[in-house]
Amino acid sequence: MSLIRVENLEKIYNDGETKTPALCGVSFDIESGEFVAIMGPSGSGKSTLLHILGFLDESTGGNYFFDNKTIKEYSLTEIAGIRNKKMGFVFQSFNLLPRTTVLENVKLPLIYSEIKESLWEEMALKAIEQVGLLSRKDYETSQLSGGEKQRVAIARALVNDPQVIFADEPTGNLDSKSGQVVMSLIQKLNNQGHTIILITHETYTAESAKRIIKLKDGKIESDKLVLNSHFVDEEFIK
Amino acid sequence: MNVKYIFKAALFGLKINKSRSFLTILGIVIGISSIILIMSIGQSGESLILSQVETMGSNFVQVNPGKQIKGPQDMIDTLFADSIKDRELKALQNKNNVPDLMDITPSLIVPGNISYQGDTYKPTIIGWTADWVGKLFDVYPEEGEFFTDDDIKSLSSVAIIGSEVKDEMFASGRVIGEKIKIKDKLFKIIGVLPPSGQISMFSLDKMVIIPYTTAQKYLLGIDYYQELHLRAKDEEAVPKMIEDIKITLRDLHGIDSPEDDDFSITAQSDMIDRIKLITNVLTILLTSVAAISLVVGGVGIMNIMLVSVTERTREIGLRKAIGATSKNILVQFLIESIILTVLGGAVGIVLGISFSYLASLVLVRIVGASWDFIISLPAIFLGLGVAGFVGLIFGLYPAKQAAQKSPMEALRYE
Repeated sequence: MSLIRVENLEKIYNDGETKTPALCGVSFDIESGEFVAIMGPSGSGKSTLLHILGFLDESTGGNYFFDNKTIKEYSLTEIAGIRNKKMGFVFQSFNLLPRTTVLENVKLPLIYSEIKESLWEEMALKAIEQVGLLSRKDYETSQLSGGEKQRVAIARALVNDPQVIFADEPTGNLDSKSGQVVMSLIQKLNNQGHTIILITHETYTAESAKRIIKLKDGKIESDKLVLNSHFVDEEFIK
Repeated sequence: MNVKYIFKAALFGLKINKSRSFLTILGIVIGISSIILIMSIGQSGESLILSQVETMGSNFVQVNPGKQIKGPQDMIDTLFADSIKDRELKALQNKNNVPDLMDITPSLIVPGNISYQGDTYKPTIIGWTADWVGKLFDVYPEEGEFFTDDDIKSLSSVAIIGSEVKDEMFASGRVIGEKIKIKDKLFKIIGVLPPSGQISMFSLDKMVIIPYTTAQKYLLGIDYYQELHLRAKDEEAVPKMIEDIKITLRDLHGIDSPEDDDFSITAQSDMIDRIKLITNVLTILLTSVAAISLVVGGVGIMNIMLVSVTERTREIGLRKAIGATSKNILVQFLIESIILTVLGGAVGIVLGISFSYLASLVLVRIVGASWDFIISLPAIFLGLGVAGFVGLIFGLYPAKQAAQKSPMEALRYE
C-alpha cells in the first residue's frame, strides 16, 4: 500500500450555523519518494488538505491512511510521535522561535524525540549544513533574511530525517531569488529520498515537482505528472 | 522530553518578557516578604516576652483571687474577686502550711498620677514588700534605701522611685527626702532606683514603689489583695508548693472540690505557655492576612500566563506540529508559572529577611537591647513551598488552555 492514501476525503467546517465545505470527496495515493505539488486558487481547500495529511486536523468524512493506518487508529501520543519522527513541516511564515539561535531552532524537534541528547548537536549541525547555513548557526533568527529563515525552517523539518516533508507555500513570503534557493533545497531533499508534498499557487514553483494535483472548490480538477519538471539552479545556494 | 529542555522552554518564555515577568511576580514578592517579616517579628517578640518572664525566675508563682478564668463570666467575676486578704497571706506565710515558700509579697497597682510642685507624671504606682525589687530583679537603690518592715506595719507614706520618674520630676538637686503627692497624699522619697530598662513585664524606671499596706488601705481603701507574688526555694519545689497553697487556701475557705476554687495559681511555666499561645495565635492571624496577598499575586500570575498563552499561540502550534504532545505543552507552561512564583518567593524571602533586620534595628531602639533578630527557618521553607504551590494552582488553568490548542488553529492564529 502507498505511504499516503486518501479516499473520498471530506472536510466541512461547522461554524455554528453555517457549514462551509472545504473538501468534497478527494482521493489519491502518494508513494514514498514522490514530489507532489498541490495547486489551486485560495479557498480551493489545499491548505485544509495539507493540514489533514499532516495530522494537524481531522477530516469529517472519507479515509486517510498514513502508513496503512487512519488517524483514528493512532493515539494522541502516537500522532505527536509521527509528527515528530515521520513528518517535517515548512510553513509560509517560517514559524521560528524569536530570540533563539539557528542551532536551537533546528534542535527543537529533537527535544520532543527519544533521541539521546548527546546526538542532538551533531544532528542539528548536519541539517544546518545541508541548507548551507553553517556559518550562521549562532545567529539569532531575527538577524537572518527571509530566505535564510526559510532555510532554517527546512533544516528544522529535516533534522529528524522524516519520511515526508510538508511545505505550505514555502516561497510565498520570499523574493524570487530566495524562493529559487528554497525550491532547489526541497528538490535536493526529494532526490535524497524524502517524500515532498508542496502547496503552492504559483505554476512555476509547482513545476519543480514531479506531479501536480490541482484542486478547485474542494475537488480534484486534475492529477498529472510533470513531464519536464525544471531543476532549480544550485548555483543560488552559497 | 528531558527535564533540562522543559526548563529551557519555560525560561525562554520568561526571558522574552523580562519586565513583564518581573512585574508579575511583585504580588508574590510582597506576600512572601510580609509572611517572613511577620513570622520573624512574631518569633522575636515571643522570645523577648519569654526572656522577660524568665527573668522573674523559674521559681516564681502568682496567686490571684477569683476562679481560674475559663470563660467571659469568670473574667467579670475575677474583677470583683476579693478572696485573698490578710488572713490568706498569713496562712501562706506559715511555714507549716507552705514549707517550700521562700518569699511572698502582695502586689497592688494604684491607678493615678503623681505630682511635685505643680508638675504631674503618670508612673506605675505599685505596692510591694520592702525589698521585693532586690529579691526578684536584683535591683537596689542607687540613692537612699528600701523601706522597712516597720514602714509596712505602720502604713508609712514613703516611696522609692525609678530613674525616669526622677528625671521627669526633679530637674536637679536633692531628691531623697522630697515629698511627692499621690492621690492628694504626700509621700516622702526615700530611695531612687538606677536606670534598668525593661525588666520582665515591668519598666522599673517608670515605677513608684510604696509599702503594700499603704497602697491597700491608705490609697485604695480595700481589704483584699489584687495579687500575691511568691517564690519557691527552687524550681523543683514549685509543683509541691502550688499543691500546698491549694490545700491551705481550700482549707481556709472550706472548699471541697477544686471546681469551687475562689483563687487561681499561675506558675512561670503557665505564663510561658500562655504567652506562646497568644503570640502563636497572633502570628497565625497576621500570616493569614499576608497570605491573602499571595492569592492576589496568584491571580496576577494566572492573568499574565493567560495573556502569554494567547500571545504565543503560534509557538504552541509550531511545537505541536513538530512533535510536542499536549502534556509537553502543559508541563512547559506550568513550569513557567512555577518558576515565576518560586522566583518571586526567593526575592520575597530575601526582602523579608532584610525588612526583618531593619525592623529589628528599629525595635532594639524602642524596646531596648533585648530585641533579637530571629530568622524563622520554617518560614523560609513555608514561603518557598507556598509560592511554588500558588504557581501550580494558578498556572494550571492557563497551561491547560495552552495544551488544548489545536495545532492547526494555533498555526493559523494571527
